[in-house]
Amino acid sequence: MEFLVKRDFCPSCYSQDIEDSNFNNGSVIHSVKLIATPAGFPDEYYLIMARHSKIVFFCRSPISLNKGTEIVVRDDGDGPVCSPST
Amino acid sequence: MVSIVAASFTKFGKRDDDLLSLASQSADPLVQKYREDVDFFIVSNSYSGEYNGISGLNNLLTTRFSMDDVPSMRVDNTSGSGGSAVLVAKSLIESGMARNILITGVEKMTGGNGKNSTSIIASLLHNEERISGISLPSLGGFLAKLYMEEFNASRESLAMVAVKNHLNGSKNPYAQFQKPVTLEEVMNSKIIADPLRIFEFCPVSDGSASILVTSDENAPSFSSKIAKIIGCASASSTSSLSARNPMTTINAVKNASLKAFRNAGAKPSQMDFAELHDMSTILEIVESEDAGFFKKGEGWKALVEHKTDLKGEFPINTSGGLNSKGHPIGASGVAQAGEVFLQLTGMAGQRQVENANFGFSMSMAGFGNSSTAFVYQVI
Repeated sequence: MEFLVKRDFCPSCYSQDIEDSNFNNGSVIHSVKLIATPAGFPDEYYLIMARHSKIVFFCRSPISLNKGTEIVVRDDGDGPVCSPST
Repeated sequence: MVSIVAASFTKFGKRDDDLLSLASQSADPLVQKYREDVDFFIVSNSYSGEYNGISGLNNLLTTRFSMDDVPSMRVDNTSGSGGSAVLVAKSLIESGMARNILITGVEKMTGGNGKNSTSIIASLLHNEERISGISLPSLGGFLAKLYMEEFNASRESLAMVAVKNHLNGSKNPYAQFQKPVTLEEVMNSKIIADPLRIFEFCPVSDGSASILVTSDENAPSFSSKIAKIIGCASASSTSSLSARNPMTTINAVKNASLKAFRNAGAKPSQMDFAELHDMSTILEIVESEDAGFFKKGEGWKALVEHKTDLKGEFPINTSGGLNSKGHPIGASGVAQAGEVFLQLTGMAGQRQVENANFGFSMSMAGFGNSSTAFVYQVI
């Protein structure tokens, strides 16, 4: 089973034998333009909901991205930022 | 079983009063009348530390009320605090630990920086999601897009929740917003988390609401007008949005409602009205389905057909909901119970639902992290 947030036990089999892994790509599910943003983030950006394998994750983008767009993800120091992979 | 025998509210909105004064304003009328009877006090509050630099709020308030010897606690379940507070009170009474419990929900959130406020509320999310710059309004935006896509819902149907609730709020003297809005005004208002506009979200608010809860045996000695809690249940779902499947169902709402109705020996179709947790318009629609009032994917049609209007077949959020009434986080769930009390006892004034015998309320934490559902009946 794959999951994004840290857990002490696998939610499926309750094993504690959990591996960390990294990923840096995905496919866009939806894009939402945010005006009311949290402290420490730009005043406006697009929040992208994307999928990598069975995991759904979120990242920021300066532009709107269409559903199905393949993206690469990097950390800009403030968190994950994504851009089209091609 | 327990009953609500009294309720008191402040006006929600941007208030100059400090946190304790806000709590006093709704609690004092009940304290004045029932001080000798209250043997436990619960304050529902989530962010007294973050917004007000205050801890131990329950004891500060019992002293403020000159109920120094009354045992107390603070209940925090983020935006579901109110529902959790009523659940705790019910449990204490039914266990014999207390007889008559005063519950005050209160929050003082305005006056600060908007971005800081967004961050405080987003702190209930996991770090792995929060570092992406996510906010609770953004989750509303995603849910709206997913829902419209999956069920071919019209964009306008979501906005109609705001039109309905602002109209209801205009009839509620305690509501933050007391002016109706048109569909055009909602659709043309500022985008907050697209596609959702500012009128489609609850405002940041200050306010408090208080209720007195007692055992069924004691209730008649307090009042001839009583709202009995005949069913109650709480359920949780993962707080990790990315792990929810499907994303257009809030399992915590679904499971809490199922259990509450089972506990009550009642069905959704028996309810005469409901107070739901409409932090954003799409949440009212999804909750109305997951609580069992409409089939999945058809809640939006109920708006279009005006079924959930005040004079409709099944009024939802007669108080104006969080959308128009406001959402002082710790106060909301208590205010929901208070609104049900007013409706069932015929004291809801201009927004009175005719022949209201059964009511329902849903207090939700976060974005469906947990929910507490209540089924009520007038006695």
